[in-house]
Amino acid sequence: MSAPRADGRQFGRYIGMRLCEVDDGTGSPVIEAWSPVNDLVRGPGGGMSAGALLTLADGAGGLCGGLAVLPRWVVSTNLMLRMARLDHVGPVHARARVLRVGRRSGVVTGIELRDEGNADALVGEAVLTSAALEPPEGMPLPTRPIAIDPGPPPEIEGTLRDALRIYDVDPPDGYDAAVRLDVTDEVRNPWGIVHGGATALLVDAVADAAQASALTEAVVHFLHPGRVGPIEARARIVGRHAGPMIRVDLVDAGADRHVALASARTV
Amino acid sequence: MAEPAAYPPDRHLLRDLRLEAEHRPDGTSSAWIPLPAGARTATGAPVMGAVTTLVDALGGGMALPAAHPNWIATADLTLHLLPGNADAVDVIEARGKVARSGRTTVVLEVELFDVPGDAPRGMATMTFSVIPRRVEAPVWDRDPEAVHRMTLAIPGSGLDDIHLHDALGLRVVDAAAGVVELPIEDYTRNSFGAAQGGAFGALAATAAEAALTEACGAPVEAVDLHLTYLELGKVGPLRTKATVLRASPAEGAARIEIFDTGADDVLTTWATVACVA
Repeated sequence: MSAPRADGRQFGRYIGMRLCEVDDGTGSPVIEAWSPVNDLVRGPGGGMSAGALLTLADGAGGLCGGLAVLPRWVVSTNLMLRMARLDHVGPVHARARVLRVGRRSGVVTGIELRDEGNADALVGEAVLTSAALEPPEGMPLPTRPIAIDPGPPPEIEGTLRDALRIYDVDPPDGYDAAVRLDVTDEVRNPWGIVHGGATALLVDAVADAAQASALTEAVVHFLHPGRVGPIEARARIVGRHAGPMIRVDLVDAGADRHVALASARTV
Repeated sequence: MAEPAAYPPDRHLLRDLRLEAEHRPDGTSSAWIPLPAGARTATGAPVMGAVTTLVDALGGGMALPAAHPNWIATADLTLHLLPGNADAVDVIEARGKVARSGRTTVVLEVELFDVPGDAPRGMATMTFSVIPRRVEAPVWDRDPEAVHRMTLAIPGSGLDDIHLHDALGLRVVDAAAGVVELPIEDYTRNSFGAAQGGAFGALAATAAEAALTEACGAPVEAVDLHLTYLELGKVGPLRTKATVLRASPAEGAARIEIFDTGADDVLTTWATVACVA
């Protein structure tokens, strides 16, 4: 891990994510974040897509976990989302708090997601588990309390999938659908690794390609950093309850590396 | 015929599930549990707590050698179950493989199948934190070049005459509020003396089913579970607190927090569970 390359807020611009640190009196970091619901992030359920919500949860939970282990920092290892409803007015308000800080086993943060435009109705809950690492060149200590404004949104027409130029490819044997994302600096985090939110959006996109849209539950295990690209997400429909349950492999095709493993289902 | 193992004690959850496991030199493993009436739901489906225990036991047996010479602590477990013909399944087979074995974590993937028939029954993933091996940790010495098969069944063990939830001592305190208690006894302890990871699955699923049956207005069964382990459950009884996330006549989801009431109500586990009618 090298020194951070940038301020790490570029990817959050895609969902208009605004982050701030609040003091709840516990002495433990709490991060609040907001993201608007617009056509860019809208999913098949009418509200914010699971991929965009996972991106919001990853951003808020990751910052919260990082502050909890300073001067170390964190990398996401596992992100789970369970939706309460699929229709949202927005903005969606995320509140991340620390559930556990382990001496060696990293940080667990819980993220509650609510719809401010709909009387704070519950949108869903996420849990982010992160590993704590020591950047060899040190972690620049941020000015507290932290406030991050995403800046002007990218000029985009269409959806996040269009903005990130995610495209369909023929699935390999054993899979029902596959999509690809070319890796540019826009989708990398400050350490040059493909952002957890971009990985989550790929899970959402390949679920859609496998006709498993409107995800209600999703779990992403981040296995190895994706740096080269393209990142290919491959989905297999494992079975169905009311809706399909899918298993997703994410592979860095340029490095022949298994980047993430995900499972998701729809109601 | 495989030899019974020395651990756990004669009366134990793993023995009553009659768990059998095989670990192979290629790093893959399989485990099986039969499905007598005591391991099924009212509709005949495999009960979530039994399958969680199957996955947890298989995962522990795989992650330990992957982390050797270090030790492991279960960080999270996700389990998705699929519907199937209850009459066509006698045994559930779990097939596991290591998805990542790193300095800080081991990640496993487990697929579940009906036996006979080989129809998919679900899938699971688990994360283990790699931690320094404590001196008192049990010795895990397995020849990595050999196939190891073991059974935990002994004469008299099984769930033919008792349901898993009764054997565990699960007690529904307030069904509508999803308050359920589980004592921590030798029956449910792991080799560290804490409650088995699978027992947490049984507790969370039972609490969610109780709360969501009320919220959905119809009996529901757990089909989808995510457990994040925060602290060991050492004293007990463990007690749940349920928050309904969504509810319709067809399905619902709930967050279940599990506290160790004998240890200053420490929050041991953060779970979410989805159920279907």
